[in-house]
Amino acid sequence: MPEVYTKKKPVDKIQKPEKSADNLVETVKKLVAEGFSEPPWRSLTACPPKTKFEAQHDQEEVLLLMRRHPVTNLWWLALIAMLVGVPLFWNEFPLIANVSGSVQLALAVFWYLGLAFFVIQNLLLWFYNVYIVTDERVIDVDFFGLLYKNVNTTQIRKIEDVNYSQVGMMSSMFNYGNVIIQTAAEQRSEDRREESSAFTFEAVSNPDRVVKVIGELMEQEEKEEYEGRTR
Amino acid sequence: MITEELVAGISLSLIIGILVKVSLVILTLLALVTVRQAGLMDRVVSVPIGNWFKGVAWGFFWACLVLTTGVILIV
Repeated sequence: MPEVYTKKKPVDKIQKPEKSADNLVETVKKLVAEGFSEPPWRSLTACPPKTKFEAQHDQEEVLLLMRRHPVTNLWWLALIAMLVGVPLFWNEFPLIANVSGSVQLALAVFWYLGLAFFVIQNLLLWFYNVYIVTDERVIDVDFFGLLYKNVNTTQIRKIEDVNYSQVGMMSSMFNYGNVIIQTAAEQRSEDRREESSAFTFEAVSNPDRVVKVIGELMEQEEKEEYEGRTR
Repeated sequence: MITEELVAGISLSLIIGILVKVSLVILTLLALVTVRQAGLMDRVVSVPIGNWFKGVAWGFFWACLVLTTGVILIV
């Protein structure tokens, strides 16, 4: 009998996106099971508990919350470690060596308060510069210094392409990299960094898994659009 | 050679002391801005340990205020 009559009918292509919705749930569940949901200062958090953001819709669910890998803070921590001992050598500086003891003490107070300010600033900027993936949107929150904030938002269905890059020894060792999301209308926002896209998730942990989740979200969105269930 | 007395009545300690006091006042104002900034950041992204960061910012502001007052009054 010819093979055409005996061979099983190939799986209908329409079923493929249906599978992707399950894949998405499975991928996020797997991340949660692996302990990616806590603690809240992780570089990659899946389904973070008690996490909300500005302009979040009622039914919108946060799937991923990301920030720069903690290792990227090493440069300023090393700088602080070096600067913290400077007041012990005040007398080595000719200008300071000639002032009275009380002024030297005041200078040391100012020095340590300045360092504390630097630490708090860097800590706040690291912690709150976040990238959020929900079941509807992708949000990139950028804070620069004290007075500048930039929030980029796009719908999942407007994403054209998503990829990631890992460059350098540190990113390979600690498994972090940049996730670059290209949208349909690639607008350039008022972003102060030299980013490849308005939606660049810088130095996030496990970029391959982030790309996988976003890819599955895109497939799910395509399926919903196909079925006329777009939100 | 740097001498303690630069001109009559104006010493190096006096000049540096004034500079430090002004800098401390500016730093206290920046600490207040940081408190506001931490609150705004927590409004944009509300996370469970957001209150801890606000507490740190407030603690830093009060430390700045107390130490600046002390330096201005004592030095």
